[in-house]
Amino acid sequence: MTLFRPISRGVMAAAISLFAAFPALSGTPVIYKDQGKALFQLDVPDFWNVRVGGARNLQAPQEDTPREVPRLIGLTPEGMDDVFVGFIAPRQVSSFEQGLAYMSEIGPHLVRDAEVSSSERRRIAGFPAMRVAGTGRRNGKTVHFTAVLIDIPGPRMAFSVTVLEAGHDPAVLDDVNAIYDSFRSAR
Amino acid sequence: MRQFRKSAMAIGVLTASSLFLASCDDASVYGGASVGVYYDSMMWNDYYRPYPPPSHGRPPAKPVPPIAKPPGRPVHPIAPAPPIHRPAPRPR
Repeated sequence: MTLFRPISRGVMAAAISLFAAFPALSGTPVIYKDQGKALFQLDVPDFWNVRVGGARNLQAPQEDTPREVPRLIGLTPEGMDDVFVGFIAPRQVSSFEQGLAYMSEIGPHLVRDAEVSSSERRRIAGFPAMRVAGTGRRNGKTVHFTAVLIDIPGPRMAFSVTVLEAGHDPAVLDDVNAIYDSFRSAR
Repeated sequence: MRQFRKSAMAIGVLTASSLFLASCDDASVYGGASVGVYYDSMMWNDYYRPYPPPSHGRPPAKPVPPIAKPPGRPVHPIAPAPPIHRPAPRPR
């Protein structure tokens, strides 16, 4: 019994330090599929909401034909409506050149008066990636956005955007970074 | 008698504790009214993208599902917010 106590304390300490060292392990895996093929996966942090829309037909006001848009995964922390992380695998985007054009298009859709403040090439999950950050305005609030393009294996690219409205809780950035740390190709 | 008093006291303490904890819990539902616009905006971006180039050859035939689908497409439960940005009409 006397021997058991120090061992159990050691095991408990090791378990606590493991949990502290790997907070990203506490997520729930979500796999992005398109036309039946798994493209990438990521972990949703605890106490985050997931909105998954499949491929759907949209018709804009004053347009005559509906068009299909691909699946989109949206993530938001529970109880916060000023943080959004979205993931999509756009069709017809298979290179950084096409991805850059896609990025330049999406800014005005997300925010008004979008201005890019920084851009860099980096690697995410071991794959070549590009990150573009900037600011804009939406619903009367200043909005920071970070768009990420990841060159996953195969002819598709993963695109993600994180939107942070002014006044958001900075602590939520740990969860956002954990989402990107958990990103994996599903191929 | 003494045991009954102890049980009654334990039940009373448990009831009071659960009521206290329930008062800490916010019963309201947090909406995604604000973040929903960003979700919809990402969809509108894809909507306004140029048409894909015409594919050569015949597309593969779709497999016939074992269970027949009901006629008509189901209505999506969440209608998207209108786009805040409308690019120039894309070439046809």
